[in-house]
Amino acid sequence: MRKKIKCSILTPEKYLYEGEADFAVVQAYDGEMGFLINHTPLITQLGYGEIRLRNGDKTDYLVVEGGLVEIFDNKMNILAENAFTKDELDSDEISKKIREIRENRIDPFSEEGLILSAEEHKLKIRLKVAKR
Amino acid sequence: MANQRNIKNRIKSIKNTKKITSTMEMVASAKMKKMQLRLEMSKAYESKVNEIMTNLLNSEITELYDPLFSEFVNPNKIMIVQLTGNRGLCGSFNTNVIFNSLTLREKLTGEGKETFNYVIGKKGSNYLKFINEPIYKFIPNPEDKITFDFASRFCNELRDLFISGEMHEIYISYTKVITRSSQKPEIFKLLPITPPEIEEEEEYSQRLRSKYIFDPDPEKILSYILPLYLNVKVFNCFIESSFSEQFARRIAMKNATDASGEIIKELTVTYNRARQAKITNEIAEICGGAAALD
Repeated sequence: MRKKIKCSILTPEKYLYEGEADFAVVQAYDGEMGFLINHTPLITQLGYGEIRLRNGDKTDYLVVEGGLVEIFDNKMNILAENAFTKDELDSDEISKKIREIRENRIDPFSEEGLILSAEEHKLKIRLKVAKR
Repeated sequence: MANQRNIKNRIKSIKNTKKITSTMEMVASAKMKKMQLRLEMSKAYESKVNEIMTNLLNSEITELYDPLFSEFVNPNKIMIVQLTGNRGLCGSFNTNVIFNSLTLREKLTGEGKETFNYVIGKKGSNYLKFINEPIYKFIPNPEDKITFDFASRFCNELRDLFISGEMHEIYISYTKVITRSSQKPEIFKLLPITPPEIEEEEEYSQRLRSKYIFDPDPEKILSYILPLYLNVKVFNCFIESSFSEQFARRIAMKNATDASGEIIKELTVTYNRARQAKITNEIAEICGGAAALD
């Protein structure tokens, strides 16, 4: 039995994930970052993106929208502001929302436009994970 | 002596009250259980955030500075955020918070400082209006519909007030959950931030010795984590307060149900006595009548 990284993903609202992984990939603020066993202690800021936790042949997919990750002594703690597991996401519903935003597109440089395009960006990431 | 029918009506009405209070008790305990789950989640999150924060503050790499730490030399504009409920019938839950805040306010006014009341929850605002206290701002308590989003938005508002210098210190007065069965009204200073205390634990000191890599640099992480820390703290206050409210309501309703049970018992005895007296009276009359015929 190989040693594994203990992963837990928390949001203020719920305890989202608890499990082990051989290899974990998180979306850091400036790109993806992967962790293997015996990683040096590290704290980094997360961006919006997908998290992949590979455990044997199985891979779990999650979406994290901002937060922090701490890895220490083969324990990985993800403190997310908002996060979803793949099962919680419904790709049809998300595509519908994206379509709505695209149909009502307004000036992308106004304040509202910026909020909407940020929202679209979030939804696209969710869609990507939902379709995995 | 009250007549039979009067007593019967009273028993009926108290039975109705008992039905209502016992239902309210059940509703409150169901809500309490839900809040308890959320409380456990957010507590775990908060302790993790605190831990990372202490790690950061103890990393001897640089001197960490953030405007959220800066204290005013002479703080004389002070905001007190009062977290009360929207509804009553929950024992001393609301009054405790209100009186706690008013005591602090009196103390601060005595020191020549100006205070502002930011009230959450209808009960708090009603009381302050009743005693003619000025209210800076009022919002209803979201109670069990509280989301992290809501808490963040509320916290951002407080942070803006502090950073812009409009308020020099911000306190939150709420009901803290100490254990599942004991809650206590408490006031703490939200801004400027006082760094969380370091707990002396074996595992902890081991962590401090091992150096973390921070990516991006500690300053950037700090400026990211501080608002998160505040948001989590405020969110927790809301959750703790809602939990305590439901807890207090459950206890109050349980007491009310018990008390009405006792009253019903007493009234039933009185009712039986009245009935018996009436019967005895009738028998005496019949016997009297029969004796007169003989």
